This record gives sequence, structure tokens and C-alpha cells, in this order.
Amino acid sequence: MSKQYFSTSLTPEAHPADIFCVETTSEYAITSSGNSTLKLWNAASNDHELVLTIKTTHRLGIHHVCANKELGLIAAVGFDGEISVWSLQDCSCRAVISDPKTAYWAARFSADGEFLAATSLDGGITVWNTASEGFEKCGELETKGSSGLAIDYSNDGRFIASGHENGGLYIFSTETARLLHSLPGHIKAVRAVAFSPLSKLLAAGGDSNVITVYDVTSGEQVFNLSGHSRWIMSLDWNFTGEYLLSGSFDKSLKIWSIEQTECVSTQAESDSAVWAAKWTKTAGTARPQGFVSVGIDKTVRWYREATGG
Amino acid sequence: MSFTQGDDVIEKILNYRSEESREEILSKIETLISDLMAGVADTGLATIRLSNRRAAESIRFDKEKLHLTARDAADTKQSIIAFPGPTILNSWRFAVLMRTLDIISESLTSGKVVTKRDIYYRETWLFRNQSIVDRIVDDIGRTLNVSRAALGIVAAQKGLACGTFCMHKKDGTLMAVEGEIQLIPPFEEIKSVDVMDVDFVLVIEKEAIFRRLCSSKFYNRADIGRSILVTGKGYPDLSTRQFISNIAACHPDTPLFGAVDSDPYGIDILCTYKFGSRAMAHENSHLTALKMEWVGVNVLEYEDGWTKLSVGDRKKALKMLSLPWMETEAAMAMRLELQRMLFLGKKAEMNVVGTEAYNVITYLTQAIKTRLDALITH
Repeated sequence: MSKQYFSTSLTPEAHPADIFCVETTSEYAITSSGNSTLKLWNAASNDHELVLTIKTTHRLGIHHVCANKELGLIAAVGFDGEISVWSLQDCSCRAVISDPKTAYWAARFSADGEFLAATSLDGGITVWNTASEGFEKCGELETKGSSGLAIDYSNDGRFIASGHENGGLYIFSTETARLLHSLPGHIKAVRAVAFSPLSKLLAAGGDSNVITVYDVTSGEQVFNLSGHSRWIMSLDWNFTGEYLLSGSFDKSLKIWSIEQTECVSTQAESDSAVWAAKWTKTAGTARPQGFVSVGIDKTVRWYREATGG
Repeated sequence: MSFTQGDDVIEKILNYRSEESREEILSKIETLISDLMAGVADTGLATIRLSNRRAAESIRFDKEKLHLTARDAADTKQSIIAFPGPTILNSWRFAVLMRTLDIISESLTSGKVVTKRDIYYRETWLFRNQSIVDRIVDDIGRTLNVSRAALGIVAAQKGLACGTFCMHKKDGTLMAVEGEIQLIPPFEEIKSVDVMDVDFVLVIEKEAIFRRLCSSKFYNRADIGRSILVTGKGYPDLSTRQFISNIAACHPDTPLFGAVDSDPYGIDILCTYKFGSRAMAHENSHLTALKMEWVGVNVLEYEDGWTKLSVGDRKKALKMLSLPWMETEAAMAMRLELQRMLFLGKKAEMNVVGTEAYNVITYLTQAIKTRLDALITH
């Protein structure tokens, strides 16, 4: 059974450089790019018009962005290796986090907004307490030293997963701060990791072109998803956990059915690499879930499922 | 999108001559020494103020003309070299400066030219390594506000060119190049370069690729026409840069292309041709070729053959992204390329592009053909 999606709107030249990352909340899609401005787009309207811009001081560009709606915060990671945190209410800067010894790479808020975690190019993972003034560091996890490229928190808050340049893939317990699983299956860079909504499965993908899916408790690999011809750049589960969205260097997006463990839709509208794609989170389940993708073509593309007539 | 240099810059390139005569410079050096002696008589200390050529404060980016240039002498960072100094290092620096001034005066007086290499070999024990000489010579040039050429110092030849063209030399001779690889002579010896209606000029970063192109007669093709191929063997020396900027200025309608590795150093080499170097900020206006178009290779265009970006590469890429010209329109394509390299953690070299059937020659042919076709339709 295949699914049909169509592109409902697109904003070309949304940024003057590559758009490296997109994050979605119920109100916005937030995009970051090779210039220093974060842009917030209206997720609920049909036109998805630009609502807000946040001018950051990341002059070299911003490659990762994440947000937590409850907290009302956005965290942006620049090529300069620093993390800046912004308030969604007044676009003010709440904190700037940097470490002279290394550069931060991928970042994620915990679901409840209590913590912010980020990987760094020296292989470590740092966790900060968001409630404290100036974001106090409250934990550090060490891995075997290969650059951390991807990170995710499970929705139940119990686990952190990280993917690394040398193929390292780890699940840590947030309670004990100990390594639970070192997952096999990747010898090349892992660029995306994502926990399923019920925190039962972990999907990982990268330069092997194959998405590997594991059982979080046992650490066993339960199945693979093949089909992309190039590196997997991003992974995102839909809110029911039935579908996985992948964005790839092969210029396409794929939607995978978890039940059937196969690809049910491919979108190849872009003529250049997809850097990131996320399901939209608009409140109200009357509207079928859609997704938004970004990449080298500087275009923000919105998709919706075609509902059968 | 191509960029043109202003008419005044073209003027300067075409009319570039050593602005001061030997006598004038010798007398400047003499003044320097007599001031120094007067200082000794006064204070017992011999001191010289030296303009620090490379210091960031001495250099600024000319946003209109799009090249690095030196700040006015009054604003330049200066260091004071004194003897006797507080440390052995100071005394050594003084000795290096004095001996270099000595060798320069000697060559100016005798009318002979020397290379920086020659200077180094005169007193290797004192200078210790070539880069010390390189730096002091340029600092002296900056302090006296004259070019290296005016000081009687010529570059050791490094750049190579191939194709069909000729060079009119100042001594009256004609150097005709007919499909063989030719060392680019020191630019002080050249009066003009006659490109004889070539369809384009291509500058290649690596000597190995250059030689491959030459041996396959890339400079004479039915599909893309006749061309001049040039390599600076990596970072170009002064003569190569002068050669290219002169061709660009004298032949504004001849397309000029640059092909470099898809790594931070390759991009830096391209930027050196286009925007200038920090070392030669005080001479950059006649050494740049802003219209040089980057034709590849792009990190996105490979099937495989990428290598991992090293820690040093990453640092270099970040440093380059912070440079003032990286935020201009003229450098946009290079900025995007550096960001992609950083995002993917990958770089790629030209010789690895493609497979057996599709190699660097076919790649370049295609890249150049696309651009030449685009020019025709305009």
C-alpha cells in the first residue's frame, strides 16, 4: 500500500545559502542556514508565510536548530561551534554556550524541556539544565572520541541516543548517565538518530545509505530500510509512530511504513540534496499530517498527504 | 555572474612599473642608517621602526575594489627593533635586518638582481630558514614603501604555462610558446603578454593535473577551442599572479577560469588569485584577477572518492569563512562550498573526480563548455 503526498507550497530563496536544518512546533517551522538568520514560518496557514526572523551572531552560519514549545525556547548551533538559545516570545537571546576546547554540533531539548543536550566534535555529549540561569552544565557523557553528528532524546525522557562520524551509535540512560547499548550496524558516519514516539525503537541512518532500526530495551537490530542511493541526512518519526520520514543526499525524501518495513512514498521534487525534513506538528488531528523539507536549493517545501476521494 | 575590476585598477595593472629608481631607494636606505647612527649617538641604542606587513591591523579589505589592501603607513602596526636589545632574540632580529639591508644595498648598487633564496643562502646560519628572509624582505619593502621588485629582488620562478601565446620581454626578445610547457619568467622581465585570440585561460591548482592536461593537448581542442593553461603549483608566487592579473586586465573579454581541489586550501588558492593575499596586501591592487571564475571541483559532484575533513582542514575552513571577502557576493559560491565541506565533514581532490570513463579531463571540458556556451547566449 503506498501513500501519496503532494507539495502544497514552496518558498524559494528562503535563505541566501543552503538551508541546513528545519525544526517544527505546532506553530512554526524554524529554518537555519548558511547565513546568520533564523526564520520562523507559519505552520498553520496555507501560505506558510514568514512570521519572525531572529538575527543571531553566528556569522559563519547555523547548521542545527531545535526547539521546545513548552519552554518557548529555540537553540541554534553555529559553524563557530557555539550554541545560542532564543526565546520564542520576544526573540531575545537567553544564553550563549561555548567550549574553547571543542565545537558543538547537534542539539536536542528533552521532551519536557528540562534539559538541553548536544554532541561535540570531540565525541562528547553535554547536558545542560534549562531552568538554571545561564544554562548550567549538569552532565557530560563520554564516547570513544569520534565526532558526534546526531542526537535525540526519547519522549519518555529515559534515553539519549547519539550517532558518530566513525559509525558509533550509542544509547545512554539519562537516570544513571551510563552507556546502555553500543549498537552495531554502521561503519561509516551516522548522521541522524531518532527515537520512536513511544520510546521503543531507535532509527539511525548515515553514509551507509541504509536506515537501521533497533529495539531500545534489548539493543537488537529489528529491521533495515533500504532504498536511498546516497547518505541519509535526517530521520523523523510521525506522531503515531507508524511512519518514518527520511531526507537524503540523493535529493529525495522517503516515507517508510514501520508495519510493512518498506518505503511507501518517495518525493523527488528537489534537484539537489535534502539536508533535513520533519513532520509538521499542527494541532488538531482533522488535518492529515504533512511534512516540510529543506536543503541545498534554498527552498522550504511543504507537503500534505493526498486524502483519497 | 562575473565581476570587473575598476578602470583605475586596470590602469595600475597595465602601467605597473617600479615606481622609484635605484638611486632613490638607496638613498632611502642610507637615510634609515644615518637616522639609526644619530640615535646611537643620542641614546646609545640603535633603533629602527619596521612596518609589520602581515599583522591584521595593517590590512584592510577594500569593499569596493574587492581586494585586500594595506592601511596607510600612519595606521600601520609597527615594531621597533633595537640593539642592544633586552634579549638575544632582539639582537638576532636586529642582525637579520641589518644584513638583509646590506645585501639589498649591495645588489642595488651593482645592478644585479637577487632572489629571496639567494639572500637566504648568503647567511644560512644567521637567517636559519627561508621564511625569515621572506618576511624581513617584505617588511623592508613596506617600511620603505617600495615593491620587492624595486628592491632588486625577483621571485624564483615557479609557475608554468602551456598553450600558444607569446611574451614580449623588456630586453627586446620575444618568447613564443607553442604547445610546450614553459616556466613563467619573473614578471619584471616581461613587457606584455600576447594571448593571440585564445578562447579562454585556465588556471589549475596542481602541477600533476596541469601536466596531464598538457600532455592530452587540452589547450587545443575542437569542442572548447584554444586556451592557455597555467599552474602556480599550489599557492601562486608573485610572478604567476602578475602574469594572470596582467592577462585578465589586458584581455577583459577572454574568460578566465580557475580549477582547484574541493578543500579549504584549494578554495584559498582560488581566493588568492581573485582577491589577493595577506602577505602582499600593500601590492594587491595589481596582483588580483577578480574576474576569475571558479569552475570546480565541487564537493557535491563526486560519485565517491571523498576523504574526511581533518581537524586542520576544519580550522582552515572556519578561518576562511571569517575573512571579510567571504561575505561578499563575489565569494558566495566559495562560501557555500566551504560550509558544505564543514557540514558533511568531507573534501575531495581533483584527481579523484569521476570514474575511469569520466575523469578530470571530461569534467573540466564539460564545466568549461557550459560556461562558454552561457557567455555566447549573453
